[in-house]
Amino acid sequence: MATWRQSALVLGGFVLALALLIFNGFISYRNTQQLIEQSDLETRSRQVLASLEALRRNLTDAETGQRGYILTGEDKFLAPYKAAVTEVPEEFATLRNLTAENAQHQQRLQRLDDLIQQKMSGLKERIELRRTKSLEAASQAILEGPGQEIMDEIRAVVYEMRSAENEALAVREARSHASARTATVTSIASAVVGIVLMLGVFILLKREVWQRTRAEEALRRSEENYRLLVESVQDYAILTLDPFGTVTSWNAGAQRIKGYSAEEIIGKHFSCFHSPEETEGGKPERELKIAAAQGRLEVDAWRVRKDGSRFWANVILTAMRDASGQLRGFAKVTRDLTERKRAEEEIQKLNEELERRVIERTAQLEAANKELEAFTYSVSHDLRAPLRHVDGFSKILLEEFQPQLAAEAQRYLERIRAGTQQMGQLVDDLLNLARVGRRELTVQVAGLNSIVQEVLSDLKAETAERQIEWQIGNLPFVECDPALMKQVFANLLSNALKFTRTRERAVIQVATTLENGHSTVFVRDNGVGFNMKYADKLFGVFQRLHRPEDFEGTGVGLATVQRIVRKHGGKVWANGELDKGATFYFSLGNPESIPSKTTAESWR
Amino acid sequence: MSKNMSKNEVEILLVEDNPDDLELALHALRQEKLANQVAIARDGEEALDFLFCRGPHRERSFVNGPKVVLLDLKLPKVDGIEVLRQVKTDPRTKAIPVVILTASREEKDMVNSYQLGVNAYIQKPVNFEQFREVVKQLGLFWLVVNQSPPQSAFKPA
Repeated sequence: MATWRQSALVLGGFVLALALLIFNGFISYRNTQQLIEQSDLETRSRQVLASLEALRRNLTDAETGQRGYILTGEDKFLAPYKAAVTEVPEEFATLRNLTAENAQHQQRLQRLDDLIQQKMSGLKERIELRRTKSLEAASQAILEGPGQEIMDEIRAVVYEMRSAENEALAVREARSHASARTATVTSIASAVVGIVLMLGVFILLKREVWQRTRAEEALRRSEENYRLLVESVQDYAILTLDPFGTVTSWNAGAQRIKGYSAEEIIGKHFSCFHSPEETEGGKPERELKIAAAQGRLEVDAWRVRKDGSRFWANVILTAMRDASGQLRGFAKVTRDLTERKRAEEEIQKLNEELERRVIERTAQLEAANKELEAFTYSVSHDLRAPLRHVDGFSKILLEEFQPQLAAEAQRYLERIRAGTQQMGQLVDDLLNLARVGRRELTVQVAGLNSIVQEVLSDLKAETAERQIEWQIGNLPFVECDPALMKQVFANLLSNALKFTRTRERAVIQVATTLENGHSTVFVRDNGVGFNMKYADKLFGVFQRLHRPEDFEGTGVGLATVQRIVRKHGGKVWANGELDKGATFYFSLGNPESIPSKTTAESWR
Repeated sequence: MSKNMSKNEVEILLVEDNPDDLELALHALRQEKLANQVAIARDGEEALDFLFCRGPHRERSFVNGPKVVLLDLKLPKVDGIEVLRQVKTDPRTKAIPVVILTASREEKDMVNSYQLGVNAYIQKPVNFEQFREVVKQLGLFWLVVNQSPPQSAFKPA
């Protein structure tokens, strides 16, 4: 807006100044014309005056010459008269010409002509008189004649004409002075205004030029900054292409990534960055087409360096269009992602390798599991068979051959049979432990009280003849595998029964307590207890704290309890004191973090 | 039905490969006076030959099936589960009561056996007295208490 106004001002100033100049020129021209005219008139006036003077002098000279001749009678005095005779008519004709336009002067000249004729003829008469007669006659004629009066009259007319001419001259001079003054004032004024206007316009123009220069300088500097920025970028190849794909600019990053210097590549077609096969297939042109149509194209692909090596590139082609939408070329930004690609491929390879190994390992584990299953199966089946045979035949010996056997032999046979029983129990317990480890949890909500009741009824045979005080508290409902939970209670309660055997009255408590914010179930007895020194050995397989003759057992039960509780995401521990009883605690972890199939899986 | 009680008929087919087990079993059966009409098969194939009346047993008739088969699971040649499967899928033998008498307490074996239609599943106790008790009760139940299937239950193929 400001620029527009400024331009209008400049234009208006110019037009005004031009008009002033033209006006000034016109005024000057007119004044000059007038001056020339005036000066012509003045010149004529002066000529008229000069002519009048010459006429008067000629006439006076003629009279003077006539007087001389009359007095002396010598012809030499007649020279002025003779000159006047030829000069006066000439002079008169000149006067008549000069004053042709002045009617008053013409009238006066008419009268003057008469007077001059009379004068000249008077002069001629007297000269004749002197020549033909005498001095006296001539002098007499002078005295009697009207010569003096005519001369006076001529003088009067000349004077009159001179005065008129002088007057006119004065008027003209005054007029021409005035007009010259006016011309001077006008031209000075218009020159001053013109100069002022021109100065204004000049200042405006100067200012505009200065502003434009400043804007151009700023633009140039900004462009320079951009160019420097783009040129100095090392990590990206930034280049421009013309609409046909010819490289038009090239930065340091492009040189670093692609290997060409700017001199080498500018003016070449960008298809040299593609592999020959791609170029033959027309891929570079297709890319340009797509970029032109969509405005932008991003490609991840292999590109070729100057030395022929390949790199994995991320390429962004952006179409550059001018304000009218005409395609001016393309900006191309390329990144070398070879390292990343390599890393990705490496990761993928590692992942595949890992997956392969996981599959392999899983297969191995499955095979091992199967083997273990086969093993336990065979243990369960085959290990027991010889025990049965030993026991069976020992029993048959005892029954059918008793009379022949010494008491000692019979006792040994009983010891053999006890051994087989123990061995059978051990096999069963171990198999159970193995099964617990392999088994997947079947989780459901179960009331611990009903599980405890089931266990108690299973234990009836062992408790029938004993004095036992059961203190069964209010136990929670928990998510668990009920069959395994039953094994936990079966083991803990039969342990409690076993180790209170020496007590006249056994007190066995099952209840819950809060340990570290976790709901915890415990089984407490008033049995023989244990030394806390061995507390960490309680849950190990085959670990026993008592002699077999005191308390039978395989040393597998608590290990089984621990395994089951851990499979439920919980933990188990014990407190005891020799001869004061023992307490076995177990928690099933947070009620929220319920042992699920996955945690069970992870436990396997 | 009373015909089935005839003395010549096999009442128990004992399928057992282990000679010691076999002897102990027979001892127990003898003690319980149940050894008279016991047929013995030493592997799965022999058991199938007997039950399907072929080979040495081709003279047998399907309608004179044993009152009970005591079947071990771990057997040479054809295992007990396969024997059970064939017996329980063939209409001519389907009705024969089969009792698995095995050392295995594997859940898998029990599940398979019951799904194939076994009539009872008993784990051999290590203790001989208990084993004898089991044999006694088995005999008492299947030979005395239980009503054996009628002949019409053994449909020809």
